[in-house]
Amino acid sequence: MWTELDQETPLVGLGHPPGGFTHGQLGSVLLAELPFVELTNLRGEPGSPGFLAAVLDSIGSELPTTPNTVATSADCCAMWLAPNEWLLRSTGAQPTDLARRLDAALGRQFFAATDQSSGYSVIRLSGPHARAVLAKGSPLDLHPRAFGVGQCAQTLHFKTSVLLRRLDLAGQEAWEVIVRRSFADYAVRIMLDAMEEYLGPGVAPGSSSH
Amino acid sequence: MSQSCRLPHGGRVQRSAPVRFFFNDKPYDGLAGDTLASALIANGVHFVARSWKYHRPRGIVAAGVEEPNALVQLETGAYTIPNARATEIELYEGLRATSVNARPDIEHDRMAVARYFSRFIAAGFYYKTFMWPRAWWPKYEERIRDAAGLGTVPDTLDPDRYEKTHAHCDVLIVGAGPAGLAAAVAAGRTGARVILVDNQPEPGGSLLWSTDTLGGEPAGQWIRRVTDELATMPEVCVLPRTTAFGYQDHNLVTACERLTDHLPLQQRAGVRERLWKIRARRVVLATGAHERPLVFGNNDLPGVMLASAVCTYINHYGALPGRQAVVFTNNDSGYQAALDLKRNGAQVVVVDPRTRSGSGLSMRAEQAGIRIIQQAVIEHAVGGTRVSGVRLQGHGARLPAGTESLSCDLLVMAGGWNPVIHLYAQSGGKPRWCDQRACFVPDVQVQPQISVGAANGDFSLAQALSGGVRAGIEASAQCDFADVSGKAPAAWATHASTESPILPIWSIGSGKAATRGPKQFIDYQNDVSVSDIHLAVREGYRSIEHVKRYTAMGFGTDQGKLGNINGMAVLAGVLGQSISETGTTTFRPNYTPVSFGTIAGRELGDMFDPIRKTYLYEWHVAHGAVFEDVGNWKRARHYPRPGEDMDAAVARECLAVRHSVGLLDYSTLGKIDVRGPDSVTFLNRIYPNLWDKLKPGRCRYGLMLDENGMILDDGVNLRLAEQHFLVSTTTGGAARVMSWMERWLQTEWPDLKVYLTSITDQYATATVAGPNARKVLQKVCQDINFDKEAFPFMGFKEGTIDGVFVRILRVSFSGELSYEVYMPANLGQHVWNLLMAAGEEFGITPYGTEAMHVLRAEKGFIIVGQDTDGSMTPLDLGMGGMVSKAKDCLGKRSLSRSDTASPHRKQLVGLLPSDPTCVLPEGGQILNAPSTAAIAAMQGHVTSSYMSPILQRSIALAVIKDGLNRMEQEVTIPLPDGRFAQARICSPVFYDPEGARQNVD
Amino acid sequence: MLVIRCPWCGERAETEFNYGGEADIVRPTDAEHLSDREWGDYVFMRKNTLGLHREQWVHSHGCRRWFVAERDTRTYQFKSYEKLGAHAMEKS
Repeated sequence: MWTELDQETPLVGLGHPPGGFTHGQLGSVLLAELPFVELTNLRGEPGSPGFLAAVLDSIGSELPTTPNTVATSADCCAMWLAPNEWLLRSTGAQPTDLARRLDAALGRQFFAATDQSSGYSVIRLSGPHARAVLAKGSPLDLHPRAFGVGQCAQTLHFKTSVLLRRLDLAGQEAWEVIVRRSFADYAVRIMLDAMEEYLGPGVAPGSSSH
Repeated sequence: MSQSCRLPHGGRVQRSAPVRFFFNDKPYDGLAGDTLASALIANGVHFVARSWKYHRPRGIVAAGVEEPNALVQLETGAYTIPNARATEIELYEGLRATSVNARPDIEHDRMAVARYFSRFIAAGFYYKTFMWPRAWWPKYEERIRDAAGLGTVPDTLDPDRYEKTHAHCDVLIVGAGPAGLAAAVAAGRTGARVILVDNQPEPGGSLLWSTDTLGGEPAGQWIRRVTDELATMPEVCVLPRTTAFGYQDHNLVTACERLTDHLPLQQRAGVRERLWKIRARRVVLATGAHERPLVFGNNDLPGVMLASAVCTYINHYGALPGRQAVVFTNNDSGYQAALDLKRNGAQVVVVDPRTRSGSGLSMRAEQAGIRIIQQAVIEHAVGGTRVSGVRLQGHGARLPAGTESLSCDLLVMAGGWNPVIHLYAQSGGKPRWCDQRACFVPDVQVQPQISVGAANGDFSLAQALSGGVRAGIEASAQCDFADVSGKAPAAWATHASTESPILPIWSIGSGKAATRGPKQFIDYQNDVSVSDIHLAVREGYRSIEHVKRYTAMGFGTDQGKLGNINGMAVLAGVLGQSISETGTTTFRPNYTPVSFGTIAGRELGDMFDPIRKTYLYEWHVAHGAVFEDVGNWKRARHYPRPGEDMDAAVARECLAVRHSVGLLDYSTLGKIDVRGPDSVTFLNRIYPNLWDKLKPGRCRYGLMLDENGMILDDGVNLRLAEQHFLVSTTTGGAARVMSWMERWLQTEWPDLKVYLTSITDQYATATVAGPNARKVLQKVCQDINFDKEAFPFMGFKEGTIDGVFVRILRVSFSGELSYEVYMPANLGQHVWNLLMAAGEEFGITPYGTEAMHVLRAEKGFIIVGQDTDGSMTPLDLGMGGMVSKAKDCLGKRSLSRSDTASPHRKQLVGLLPSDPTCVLPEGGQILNAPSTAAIAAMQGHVTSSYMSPILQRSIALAVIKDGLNRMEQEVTIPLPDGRFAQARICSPVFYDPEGARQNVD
Repeated sequence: MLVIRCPWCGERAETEFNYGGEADIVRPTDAEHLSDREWGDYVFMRKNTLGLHREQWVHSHGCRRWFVAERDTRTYQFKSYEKLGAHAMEKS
């Protein structure tokens, strides 16, 4: 039977430390991979009778219906992706088999729940320069007046799509960046490169080419 | 070398900080705070360049970005910058610069002879002379470019780092002169997000050396107070050394920040330049104005300089451009230069075509004892490598006796002011000619922007300040930042002086007279003179846009900064129309040159385009894979062992699959989860074949057509449940197919209840192929029955391998017994390792995409995009039977159009070369017989071609006109070396045509 | 680079979108009964409007929704945006 040690994150090419890949300094900008987060893509019609209630039952929170907002419960964060699409990010330590639970809870309703835990990589970027790093790759206005805590947005990070969520880590500015698995290595390498000017001399681990 | 023309005091240079630099290999000393141009002037160096066409001696004319002549090659090797303007280069220790258009040097320029036959090489000379014979043009071009070239491009990689960033603000202010600073402080106090960009090292603009007072405060003190206040505002960002070079659509302004160019080479580290892409809700353009030269004979001699530049060199840099000056001015600005020169000990004579006006500045000049010759103009200047004198002409009056000739070492021109309307015009605005001020000014706003200060033709300091404050408040208010009462800056009082109006003079002498005698230059940088414009008109050019292109006026780094308005006015005069009717040329980005490094930023090399990696990428690297790019993916192409070339590795991998078992990373295929009650209806509309009858647990091949009936993509689809499918796509087509299907669903069939979710990245795929594939899988997967009856060809099962959920498909792209194993990508490596271990006893062999291609070609399986292009229908592939007659689908109607239904189209066939060792070139054209004629009838082309290891001969797939009716016929394929290969048309299935191997028990 | 207002996500940079050409082209439901010319008109012929143009866009790097925008092809100014008919339940 496989164990957790048999899993690999999409950032295996940057090293494979337990707990995930990290680089930088919190006083400047810190990148931290959050490995093996349970992610579930959910499609459904908010107007469909019983849909929202059944989801509430499964994840413990309402689904956000305001575009680009987030709703959180004790163990789940639901991020708006489209008027009928959400990304559910489990926040507990253990996977909760959410896709199957939703399958069971939603029964014969018109919906789709797909496990995406291997499909994406979750990165946290924090520190006073985090926003400047993200601004290099995203045309989105990331100023707190335009993009506050509790909001999320799908946008570009250089030439790949990402889902951004603003976090509040004890007052420290922080962002969660969720990127498709096959693009994760590219996205993180170019992010490490973008961090370089704020971390002083020294070569970032991602900047070596091969 | 001493700084012979350095003033004993004054200026903003640091007198305690000497800087050693080299110009044309000679050492000089300057001061910290100098530009290269000001340091040269402090050293008495005016002759710094040769013009690009006539190789005439040229000097420093201006003190800013508008400098046309003083282009230098800055530094050498990897750090070299061609055509840098000496007026923009901040001096640093050890700087090395050389003149760009002179070999071996400007004193002994080989091409200087060009000036003596300049009358033969006027505008259009090259077009007329070197057009014929046409075939010789490349040779001409090479020589002309060599002779006329400006700087030289670096021949090594640029070692510097360039960054790009997006920025957003409520109010963007371009220019930190008085108007821009006033706007910034007014906007900043409202709490709006403000970005202020300025191309100088420090804010202040012309105020930096002004003797004016603002609200009773000396200018320098005012600048400090305002910039200190801006620094305390958290939402205000001031970017010095930043040039806004482009005004793009929807209020996007692009600016280049220079971070290290002012430092000695060895001190430079980090980012050299940063490209700012600033999206502003409102833009305030406070870009100032450029002074216009006056047009007279030999007005291009070194030592001929703009009045504003003279003031700048004296007051900002403490450098005296000449000791015996003639100031030629048609407005009051020239008097300021005269006063500054006189105050610093130079002899000055002013030549003014106007009558005595008694305006403030002119009276001060008179009081200072400066001689003023009214109602006179300069006919031409004389001199060699520096101006030595001028000849005067009366202008509506006789010259006073003895003033026909004056000697001088500095000739100062003040021809009026051109507001810098480049960004306004780039924003889509059409400038308006203002007769009173004799300049083009911004007119109607097209994008949400406003011009203030000199950029708006408001040349007085009082106007700049009040306009700036007003613009700052209004722009903020438009972004919903109200001016909280009492916070707006008060109007700063300034000293007012009377002015008398400008008398525009566009050239000396009218009509033919202007084209005779010494050349009167309009555009120094491109060697365009008044006579060239006359010539252009004689040759039939009327539009300013055509005259510009015929003469090259405003080309190069000039971009219409210095000479264009004079040129338009001269053209208007020749055509007998107004300047307003003549109009301006189109101002386009970029305002100043932008380095390629800045445009590229960090998206270089491996970061140029995303590299997509599968779950197995690192394993492939560790096992010596050679990669190929498929879309953005890196796919393992083959795994050569020591001593193996690609052919040997591919042959070994192919035979392993045919004889035992191979393992392929197949994860790059697109995978789309299709779910909902209308899934079958949806797939029936998307695909030509029927999906109603496919049972859960079964797979079916599907071709996808566009509305033109052409093959778009293909793949194997699984029915997971009654209302649930998994659609697979080609590697390169995954994103395209997903958006294609989503588009139909959203735009045309919103009533269909179907959800599409990409699961390409969620599932890793490993293909186990070969006669021993089943045995390998049986060792690791106990909860699936792999017997033929339980698990037939084109079926799939779900189970576990070491507890990992897997979905296993029995499908084959190699013609062998073959299984595709889908597993969550995080555990893909683990499952792959288990498969490798289980296959060890069978000699399991990882194979790459090249072997996969050979194996499928042996079976005649197509690859969309290789064996098809956008012109192939299912009928052309012999797959017409897949198109269901029972329903409509995308593209179906197109298949019955007269052309697509024709039986004589190009059709997919196999080719067997007569020489079994000859692998035909892919893309090779197909002829009916060998032909060396220039035109031969093409019958089709080779789409796939390989050496087949199992057949031990070469095979190929091809599309050939009427191919299905031409079986067994011989065709000819021309080879790149001029020989011809013969081949026989055959079935595209070369191996195991009965399909016995994939259907094995 | 334009700013486009996604009807769902608000103003975003053009790089997040893809263009889908002329709007309001309805796929014929009776394709089999159309002449080659009529079918060809549907597949190939477009107005190429100078001036106000109704066109389709998709917020590809955002919510992946298609929508219709009215844009002046001379000035690039957008006049209006509208959502497309979503799933039946959306109609409430």
